Amino acid sequence: MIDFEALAQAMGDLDEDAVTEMLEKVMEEGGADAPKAMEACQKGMDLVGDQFQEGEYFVGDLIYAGELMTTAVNILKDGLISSEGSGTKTKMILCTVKNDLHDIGKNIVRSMLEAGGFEVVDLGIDIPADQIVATAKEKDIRIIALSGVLTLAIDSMKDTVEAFREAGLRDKVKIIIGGAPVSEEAKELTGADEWAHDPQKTVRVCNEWAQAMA
Amino acid sequence: MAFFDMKEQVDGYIREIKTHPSDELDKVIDTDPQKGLQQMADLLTFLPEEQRKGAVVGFVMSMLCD
Amino acid sequence: MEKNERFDERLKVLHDTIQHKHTSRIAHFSNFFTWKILDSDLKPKLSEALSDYGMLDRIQCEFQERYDFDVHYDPLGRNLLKPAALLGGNHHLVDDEQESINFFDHTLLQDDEYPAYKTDRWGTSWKMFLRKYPDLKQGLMAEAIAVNTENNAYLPYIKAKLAKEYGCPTCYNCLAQVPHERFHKYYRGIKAASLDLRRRKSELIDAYDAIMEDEVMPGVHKALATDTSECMVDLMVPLLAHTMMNMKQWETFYWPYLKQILDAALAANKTVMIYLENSLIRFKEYFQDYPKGFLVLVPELDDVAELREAVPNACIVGGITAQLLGRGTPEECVDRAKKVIDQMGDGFMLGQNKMMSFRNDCKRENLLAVCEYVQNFRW
Repeated sequence: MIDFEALAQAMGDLDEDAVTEMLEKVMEEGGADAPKAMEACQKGMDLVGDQFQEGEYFVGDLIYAGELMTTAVNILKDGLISSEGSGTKTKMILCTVKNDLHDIGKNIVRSMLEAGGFEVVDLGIDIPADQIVATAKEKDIRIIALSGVLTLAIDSMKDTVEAFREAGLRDKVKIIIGGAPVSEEAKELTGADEWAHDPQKTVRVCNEWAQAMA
Repeated sequence: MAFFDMKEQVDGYIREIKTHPSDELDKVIDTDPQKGLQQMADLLTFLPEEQRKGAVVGFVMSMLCD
Repeated sequence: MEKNERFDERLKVLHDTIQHKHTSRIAHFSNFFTWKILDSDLKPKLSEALSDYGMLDRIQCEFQERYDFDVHYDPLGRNLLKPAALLGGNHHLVDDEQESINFFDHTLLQDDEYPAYKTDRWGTSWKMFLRKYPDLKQGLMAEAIAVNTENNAYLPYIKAKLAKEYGCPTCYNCLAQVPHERFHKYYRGIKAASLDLRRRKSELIDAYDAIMEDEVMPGVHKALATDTSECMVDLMVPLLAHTMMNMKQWETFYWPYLKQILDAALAANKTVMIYLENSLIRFKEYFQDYPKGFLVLVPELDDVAELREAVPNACIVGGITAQLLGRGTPEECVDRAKKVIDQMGDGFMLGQNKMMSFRNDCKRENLLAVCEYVQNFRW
């Protein structure tokens, strides 16, 4: 059996070789410990987030962490599928808004949100407002995270918030906007509920909303 | 005020290029970097000879950064 | 004022500002890119304008006649749409309906090719080019090179025109960047280059050392030996890839190479503009020891007053945000200009915080108001 604390630390240290070795060992031993290993990886992602907050890690490290989590999930997946009692996760929507094709920041945030316990419905890039609203309606999703890098993403974010209003859903959802052009002013302009430049804030805010909605 | 206009010049360059045999023009670029460079330079007869290889190199480097 | 007097006056204001000398007026710096096309009364489509250098010429002149900037960072000379279209496209996607230009993150250099790039730059570049444009016919490439002669001719042409007709000095003629930048943006892409910082440390350092020695520094020394006395700055260094790096990565993969470039420029008694994406403040200590009159910083996210405090020896360009120019009122924009000019004092040029590219980045009435204020402002 592997040392799960050591696994979490290795993930936090972004030690790809150590993480991979330990996870492969879990699967060699039959995979029964896959859920515990996944939990350790998620704890490691929290450590990554802490390091980012402290200024030790930066954006490139979050990209790397996202890749490492993807590797972890791929190694453990058979053990995770067969495990019982995985629990209910809060679903949320994440996407890059219409007219913006950037996804690096969005993908970083997705990794952190998934590690933070969310089931993320990632709609992708260049997503029009009506598609976001339709998905929220169809899947009964109440937390929406909108990403964008170009200044014109602000207009698309505003359109999305307006689309929720027109659909009679504005009061039922919480919307956070993220990316280089967002700010307190952008939040006011778009009508979003919150804004974030860093993924930790996004995870924290979405967690607060999820708990309030539960 | 006059404005930028190189249309005639560029059209002339393209006419010059099209005087080369069609089997040369239709050939896919050689993957060998030296052969490919020379073959492309040989087609740029609208430029003075000493400028041709430099034009190919400069173009490749520009397009990689686009 | 005669045109050449105008040029001399503008150049003096720009140079004196960089030297932190007190000037009678504030220099106004244009960080406008494709917004000029959208603002033009010619009302061209974006792709139409970008494919027609004659039209870009008209648009640039119209822009200067309307707003009368002292210097332009981008005189609309930087696009390769036409030759790229002949080759089958590129990684810029122009959407005329949405008036947007998007850039795709992409990888041309494979994971294990850093050593090959180090020792055979041309061979590896050729491979990358053919990956970008597979099955390319010789005739088409030759035509694209022919078309590209326009692009090569246009930039020096428009710079000379702005100087002669409008008295606007060229912002810069010489550019240098650290090796990582080419991999970050073009050869590996942001994602792969970020992963490389951890997975391929020694290969990167090996390759970067070689690139600096046989390519970048010879280029820098050649640039520093040219006559750039009639440019705003002698050398321009763009900083983009630092936005991904933590401090240790900066100290290993970026700063040692940037320092070489900066120190060479300083030794040659030249000025350097650092054009920034994102923020510089977390690296402030690295720039604080350079003398006043050497560095010009054009920030994006950093507040100019905070940057002034962090790097007091640098001339700062900026102060007006796209947010304000695009969403505010003329009065708010002028109030901001007043406030920031007063706050920043000497060693400051008014400019915009973003590469102004999209319609909502700026309203004409706001920019006109700011320009009128700046043009009439005297200490």
